[in-house]
Amino acid sequence: MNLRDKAAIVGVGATELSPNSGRSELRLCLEAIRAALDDAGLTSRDVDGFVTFAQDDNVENEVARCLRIPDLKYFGRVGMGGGAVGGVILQAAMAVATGQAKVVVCWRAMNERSKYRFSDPAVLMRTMPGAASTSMYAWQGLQTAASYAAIGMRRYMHETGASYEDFGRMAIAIHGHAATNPEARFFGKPITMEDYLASRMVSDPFRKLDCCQESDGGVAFIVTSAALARDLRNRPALIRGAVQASNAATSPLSSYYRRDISPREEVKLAAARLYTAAGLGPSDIQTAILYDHFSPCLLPALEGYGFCADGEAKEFIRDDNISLGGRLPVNTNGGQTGAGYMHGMNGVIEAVRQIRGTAANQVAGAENVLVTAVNGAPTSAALISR
Amino acid sequence: MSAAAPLADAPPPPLIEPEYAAFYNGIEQGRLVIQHCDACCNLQHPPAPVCTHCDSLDLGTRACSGRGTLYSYTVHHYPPLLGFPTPHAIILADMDDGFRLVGALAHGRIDDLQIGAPIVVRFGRHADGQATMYFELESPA
Repeated sequence: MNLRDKAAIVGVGATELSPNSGRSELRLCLEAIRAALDDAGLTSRDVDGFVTFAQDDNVENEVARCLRIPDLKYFGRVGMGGGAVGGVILQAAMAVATGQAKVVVCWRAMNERSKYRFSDPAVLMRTMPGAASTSMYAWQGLQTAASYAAIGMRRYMHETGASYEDFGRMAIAIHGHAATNPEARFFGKPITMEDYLASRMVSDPFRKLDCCQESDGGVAFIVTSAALARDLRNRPALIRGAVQASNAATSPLSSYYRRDISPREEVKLAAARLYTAAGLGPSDIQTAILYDHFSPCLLPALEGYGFCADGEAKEFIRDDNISLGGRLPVNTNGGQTGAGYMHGMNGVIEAVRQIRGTAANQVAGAENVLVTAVNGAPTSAALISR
Repeated sequence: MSAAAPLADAPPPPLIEPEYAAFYNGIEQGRLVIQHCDACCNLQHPPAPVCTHCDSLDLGTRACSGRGTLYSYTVHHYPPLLGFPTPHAIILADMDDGFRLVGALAHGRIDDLQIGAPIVVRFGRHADGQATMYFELESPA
């Protein structure tokens, strides 16, 4: 069954992303959901489905209790941390398209700054999928997501000739978008190449300015059928396609035992099926929200999603090609490095705003928006369309 | 092959699932013991309950040479690590026997790290007595 245009995102909501929310994760979750329902013109009594991350600490029964849901018919979760984003959209669209539920709330809410930080080695050891391999790496001092991914990107530099300055161009473009998005953590703070190269090393080749801004907050969006969507107040953001992708050689940020260890192989699997399902290709996409846990990883992501050939992202991102007004503006909200980290789910909100024409950094004529999950891991992606 | 412990503190002790026992027992004895498929002769690491090349459950182990080349690496600076001072270099090596291995760099200058450089596995103990392995850059002959 092709899910093309069978379901749509009809409401989006988010709290502020901050270093310290001062409230519970459940409270953040509910604020985001209530905002998304208000945005859609629906009430919690209309909701009959949930999809969230396996890692989300807000449990279904408590969310249902606080929303006074009378009849919850579907509640699913997607694993693999930041690889889940497109999988959440996929599950929600499947639930709607197969009649399991009519109105599905998708959320991610966490105090991932004030309560715990994924960058903390002790937290990684209990949250990274694969306890035995995670423990073996920790035993050798490989204990952070940044250092996991850095090994793949160091090899990528070696094979493609990409430089620190190329990574700087990516960070400057994304932070440029954050600087003009009032909701972004880096609002009003554009960066220069000088700032970039002076930024301290975290896990070489990643500097502080390459790393996502760990944040407290919550985001939610509402998925319903395309037919119901037409009667609601917003322009529907149609789910043109959504896929998950992995294979035998892919593991979370540590796909070290395959020919190409750069974070690209699973991206190519996702891209091929996404474009076939959607009947679209890279040239049909006006803007992309790419998962920037560490923004250098977006170079191989651009290659894997077919915007340029392998090894040519460093040329593709020159000449402001990925800034507003360029061929493919990337992370127009400022991404997770500039706007704030919310496991990629805030990228879905931005994709919907681009489709509606209400983004802070609006891309003129945005008809198809790519939104992706983390690369170099079991991954997922979606195409959101007018 | 043994050497002084390179590291003052101790990282969290590894979680030893049954498939990993031979590897860690080997480390304890100063040997690099890697899972071997007795059906197709595939060497595989990390260990698994099945041969990921031919599906056989007929798995044994083989002591390997510990020689390889540096395939990729990172130098970690921040945040602080459990049991390792920073900066701390971690290497992904292409081992001569045909598998890849992740390990810490010790007794080497971080500035000398270069993809393609020859490396060798050494063994030692942390201050708490925990056995470990680490990589050294091989000096040119």
